[in-house]
Amino acid sequence: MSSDPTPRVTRTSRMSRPEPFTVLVDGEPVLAYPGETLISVVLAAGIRAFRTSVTGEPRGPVCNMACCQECFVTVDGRARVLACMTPVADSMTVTTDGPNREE
Amino acid sequence: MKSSSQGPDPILDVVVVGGGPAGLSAALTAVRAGLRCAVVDEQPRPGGQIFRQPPSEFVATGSSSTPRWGKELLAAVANEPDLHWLSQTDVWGVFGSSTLLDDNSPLMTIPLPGTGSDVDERLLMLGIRDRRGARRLFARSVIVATGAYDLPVAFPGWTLPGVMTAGGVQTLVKSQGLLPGRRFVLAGSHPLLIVMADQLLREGADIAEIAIARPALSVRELAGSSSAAPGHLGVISEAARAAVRIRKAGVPMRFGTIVSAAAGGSMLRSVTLSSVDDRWKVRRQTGREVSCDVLVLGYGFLPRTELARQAGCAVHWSATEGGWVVDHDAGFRSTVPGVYVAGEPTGISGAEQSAVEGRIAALSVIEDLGGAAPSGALLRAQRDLRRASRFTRVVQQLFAPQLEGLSELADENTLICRCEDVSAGLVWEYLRENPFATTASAVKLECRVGMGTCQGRYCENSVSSTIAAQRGAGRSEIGMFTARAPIRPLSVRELASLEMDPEQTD
Repeated sequence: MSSDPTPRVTRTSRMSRPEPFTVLVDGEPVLAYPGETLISVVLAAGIRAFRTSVTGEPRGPVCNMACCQECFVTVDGRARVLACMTPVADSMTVTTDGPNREE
Repeated sequence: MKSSSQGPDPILDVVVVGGGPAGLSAALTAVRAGLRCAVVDEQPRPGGQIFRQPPSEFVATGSSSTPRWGKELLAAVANEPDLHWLSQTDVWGVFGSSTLLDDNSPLMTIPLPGTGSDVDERLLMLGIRDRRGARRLFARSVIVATGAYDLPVAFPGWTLPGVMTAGGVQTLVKSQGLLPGRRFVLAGSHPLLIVMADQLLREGADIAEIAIARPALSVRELAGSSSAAPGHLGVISEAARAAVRIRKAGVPMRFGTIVSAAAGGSMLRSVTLSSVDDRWKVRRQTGREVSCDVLVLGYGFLPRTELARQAGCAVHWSATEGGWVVDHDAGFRSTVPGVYVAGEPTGISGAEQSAVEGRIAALSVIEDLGGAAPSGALLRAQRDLRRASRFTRVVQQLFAPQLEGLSELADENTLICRCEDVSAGLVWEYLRENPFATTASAVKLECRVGMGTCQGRYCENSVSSTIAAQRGAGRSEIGMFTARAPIRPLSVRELASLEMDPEQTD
């Protein structure tokens, strides 16, 4: 791989989006676009591990269709919200629960 | 179509579960015959996974991958004023079919809103849940058109963030305009994987390699596949065109190659690609490491049958149709009166055949409720079904996953159940120590596989393939995990809110 180890998630130019608003992801303000689901917003914020498994493993989204149940996040204090099924809203506070977030 | 906020009639003629090609075709057929019909779907907009649309806030520019008939279907649904569309809603159970213990459910005896009387015995009740909580719907019939999901395959490292299904990545790209990483490896066997690689390249993704488990198609196989589908070459020809563009882009595509391991710390950093024989068994010492941050897996699909099974519908194992499929008659009636089935739960068959099955199921509903279907509609649908199924059979034969080879990818530390973190080694040990245990349910009870929040969708096939390989038992003998309501995780608070039915009492 190249020298830059950071994964890069891209919003493609084929989609024209409305003006973004700001939400908090793990305490950091990030831009999000109306119509995006929380999977897009959290991945675009550079986070891959959305939750921690029962034995402490990092897990991230797999199916994007509510089958795998791996993309749980906490939204405005409500735990176990499926990121794939939840549209982002202005001023939301999203918290992930991945272990060992920095590598 | 009417949005959910208006609320459907208290008693519907038919509720269609699933807003993909099968469900939408069924609903249009039913509504046009004058039936009161609602479609319930998890997504905000109609289309299912295959025709998943961008959110209404986005405007997609450039060409769409949805075929013309799919766009026409979506437009017809949008313009149908009498179709109730219950979006972002799950169905967690179907109750009231006379074959079930569920008939005694206290939920059935809560007075029907607005009537003050008990629910008519002949009605089916659906437990649904949307943003406002859990509610009930009452209907004379239910069409289960719940689609399919990507076949999960357990191998070392498959639980790392960055390992995703083809459907997962495709829907992110198609409906969210998001490329979930920088450097992709695609692995599997289904021709849709090649179509997807082409889409990813057009979006500017870097694809390190495409690993196709089956051997390269022979000339004879290609000739057979094209003659089976006169007039519409569908997926195979689309894949062939995509393959040419992939080669031009310089992306290596290797047949007889499988992903045997994924590695990384808290996220995917690399995969190991290995050569396999024609049964997809890994040849020793052939592994190569390839760097990537997204691995896309596309080995084929499993029918999504848990709602049909929970409702009491009989199923049978059919390897060539994608696994456990719902029993039905020529009119797509299941074994439970009032419950019909269409699309992938009847056998993996693709969007076109699914849409035809939806039409036929709805025509049966119309007939069974004493209505009159448009003349000639059934004959036309049956003819379309014969044509579509010829093509489906060929695709399934050419690309059916080799389940035994795939089941041998796991090592003893590989998690076979990713909800409860149960290793393959634990399952092997249980099978060694319990020589008479041959069913999936026995392994579930002892090892906790399938007891987590995905309710077995991600481990059932791996567990059963493992039992089959170790015992030499048939899948019918091994069986499936039992599907019980709620088939989706439902909070106690949501369940408790049911009795009040606040949305329906006004």
